[in-house]
Amino acid sequence: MLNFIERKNKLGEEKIISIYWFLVLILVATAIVLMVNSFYNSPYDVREVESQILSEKIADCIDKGGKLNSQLISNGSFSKEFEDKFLEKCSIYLDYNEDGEIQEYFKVDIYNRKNSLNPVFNISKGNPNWKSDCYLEDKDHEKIVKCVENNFYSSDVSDNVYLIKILTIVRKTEQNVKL
Amino acid sequence: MLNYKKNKTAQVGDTISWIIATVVILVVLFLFVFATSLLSEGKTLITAKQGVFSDEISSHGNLILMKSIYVYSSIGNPTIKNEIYNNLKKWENEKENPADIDAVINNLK
Repeated sequence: MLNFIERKNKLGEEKIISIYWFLVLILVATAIVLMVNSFYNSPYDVREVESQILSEKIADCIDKGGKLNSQLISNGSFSKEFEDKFLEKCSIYLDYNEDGEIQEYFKVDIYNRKNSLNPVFNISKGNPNWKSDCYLEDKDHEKIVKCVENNFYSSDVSDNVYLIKILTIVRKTEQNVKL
Repeated sequence: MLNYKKNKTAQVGDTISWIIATVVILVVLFLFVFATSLLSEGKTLITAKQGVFSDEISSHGNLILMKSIYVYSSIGNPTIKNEIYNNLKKWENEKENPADIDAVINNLK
């Protein structure tokens, strides 16, 4: 009789344990789904690379084959027309967001080798509002824009050396950061 | 009577160990979910200046650096050459150029 009761108790206990394990299984499965969902739902932040590519494209347009673009400088003077039509001449297309705001900004400062404080010529295109966001060190604001600065030397046909500084900024926060 | 009491104590002990096991499982799962959310926030394509290019390309310098190197090697004036070299070294130290300037210049020779 006692054996029969013990066996019955054991059966009941096994049932409870199997329900418990089933619940644990559901819990673990839910957690895995949550983890996969959260990881693959957040986008890759490619803005720094995008900014660098934009910077390289600008540099390649300003400096062709190791010399300053002949359309940019001729007889020692810089062309205003080249500055005005810079985007067309360099085949650069700036992106807009849904609100019609330009998502990039770039600034090219060309300095005489002897005077690296005052640029002899500069070109800037895009949305200048993003410029101030570059210098914010707050963690939350770091996500707003990505800025890349590049410096290089170039020379004209008369072998005058110029220092060129390029600042490129890409915003596109919505596409690159999980908000 | 004594048997019944003993059974009860064993059952309470069992239940507590199950509860503790459940709590441990929940904590571990929560930690994993939290770590995943942290990882997903920092999903960044490797930084542009370090790591986009293969080691072979990096050792030759990037496109922008090569423009300066071209000016450095084509200019005859040693004062300007020196000035360019010093600035390139400075940018290298400030991590603006990932490539080793001396190695790039030696590769050209």
